[in-house]
Amino acid sequence: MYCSASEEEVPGWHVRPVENFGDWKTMTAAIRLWIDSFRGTGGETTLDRTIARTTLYGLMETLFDTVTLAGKIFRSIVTPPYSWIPEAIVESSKVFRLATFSVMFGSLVYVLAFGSVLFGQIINELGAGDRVGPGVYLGLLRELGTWLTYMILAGVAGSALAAELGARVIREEIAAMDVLGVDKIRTLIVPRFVAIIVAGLMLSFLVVLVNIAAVVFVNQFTLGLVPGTQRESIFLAMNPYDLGAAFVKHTFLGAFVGLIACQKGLSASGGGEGVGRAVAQTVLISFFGIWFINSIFNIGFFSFFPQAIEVRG
Amino acid sequence: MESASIPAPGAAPGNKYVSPPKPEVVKKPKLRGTLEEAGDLAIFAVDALKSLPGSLRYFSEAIRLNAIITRRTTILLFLMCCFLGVSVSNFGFYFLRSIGAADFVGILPGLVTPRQTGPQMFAYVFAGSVCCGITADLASARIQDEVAALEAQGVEPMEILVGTRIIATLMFVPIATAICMLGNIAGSYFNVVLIVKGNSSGQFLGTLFSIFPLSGIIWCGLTVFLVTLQCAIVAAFYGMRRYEGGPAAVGTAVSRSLAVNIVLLHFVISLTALAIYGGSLGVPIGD
Repeated sequence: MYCSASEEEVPGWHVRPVENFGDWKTMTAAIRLWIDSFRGTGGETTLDRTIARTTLYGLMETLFDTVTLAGKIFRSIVTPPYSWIPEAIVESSKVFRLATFSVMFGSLVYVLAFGSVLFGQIINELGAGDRVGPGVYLGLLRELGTWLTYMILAGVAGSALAAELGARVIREEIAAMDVLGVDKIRTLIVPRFVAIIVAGLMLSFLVVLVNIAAVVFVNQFTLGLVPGTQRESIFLAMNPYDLGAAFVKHTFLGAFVGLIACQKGLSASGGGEGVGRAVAQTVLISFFGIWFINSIFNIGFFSFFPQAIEVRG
Repeated sequence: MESASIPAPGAAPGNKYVSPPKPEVVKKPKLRGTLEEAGDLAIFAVDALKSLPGSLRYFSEAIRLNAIITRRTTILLFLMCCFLGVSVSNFGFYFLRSIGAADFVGILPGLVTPRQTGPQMFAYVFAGSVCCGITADLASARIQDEVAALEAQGVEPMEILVGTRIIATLMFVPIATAICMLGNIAGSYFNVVLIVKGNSSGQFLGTLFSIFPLSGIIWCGLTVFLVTLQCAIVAAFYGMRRYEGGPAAVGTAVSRSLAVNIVLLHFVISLTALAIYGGSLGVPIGD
């Protein structure tokens, strides 16, 4: 009674941790107990443990914790003290600088070797050389650019984020923030989460642009195609449905990579080995999720928007 | 961390009226650090390959590790390859329909699987699960001074730790080649025949296997072999490296090894495919 009356007069009350959900906490504990009953026995070595934990139990645990964390992050994003915006800008520039070289190098080598030299040659031999440009463009926008960007982003930036957060948990910095009453979600998690989404969107469309330019340039020499013709046929293949679908899908994927990295980093335990395990699991679950979301989204997209796949050009 | 107390080079030591310079971590230039790392990696790769004959002494350890890897990775590898097959056939069906060749969608998985997507998806899964495990394993052994203990006992750590892991991963290559090609074909079949309903089952499989070369299976195995060797060596290198920063450095090691692996694997797969198929297309079209 006394406590509840004086709560509003305590200075700094508004910065209490967000986890005080009341009954929500009891409910989560009950569901965690239920999920815990699926846990198998652990292995002996680190290699065994690292690979072993990514089982059905691990996936369910991650799914549950991720949904909880997503709720907290969403709540912190929409509620007024928008103190995370400046740091989010700084963090997204950091992620962009960290991942640009890797993403560009990996995707350029890959797309030039397969899209232009090998399969462009085959399509050219079939007599459809003007289809190489649109094929690479549509392939990049629908399938290839998505997973080239996000696999490398998850490998470079997502794992770095998980390692950083896990190191902070092991050094008990997160516990110290809780004791001081600093909202760790708002100050630490939300900027990095937003940064991965923003940097991923920028990178994914940059990948499409740079790779198309490189393919059009290289096709002059390998296949003898005129750049103007290729540009015309690429413009004929463009439509807003593909771009919009890519935007929505990439936003989802960036949110997924960021969420998994934050959740796995925050739940690291057991010394340095635990941080290594958290990073390995982050990567594996991100990889699986990227492919799952991509496949489901594309099947649904082509079924619901048949305008996108009309014959053009 | 020790370099934090070194004063900045511009400060005059005798002048006591100037406030002492701030402690500043002296960083190496980025390019130089990267080149040093690449050189260390090359030296380590040669050492690891030289230690392979000696580590045949610990063959039972290699078999044990291979059992772990095979048991934990095979189902995941098959599932991920199914996703890649769905992706490839999805794009191929709608793209070929625009030039009026949707009946021949089977040639796309048939062409792409042995030279590109099979090794690629294997490399992603391998780098993500097994190589991260190897790095975390070796790095935590390094931090708990287990490597130094092995050296003190007269056991060569390169042989018992690195060589056995490389042998274990190389023993996984034949299984992985079969699984990744099967997964790709199963995913394509699932998408084209059962979901999109674009082809009949017999036509899809007939087109697919009419263009699927037998030599492609061998070249796929070779690509998988090279990618496995590269990923395992990089993972072991970052596991055996010395890091500052206490136990939390294991996470840094894993993250760094993955970042290097996932760029290099594209490079290795693309260059191998170019070396094999660049001169002659290896396609029974127009011959």
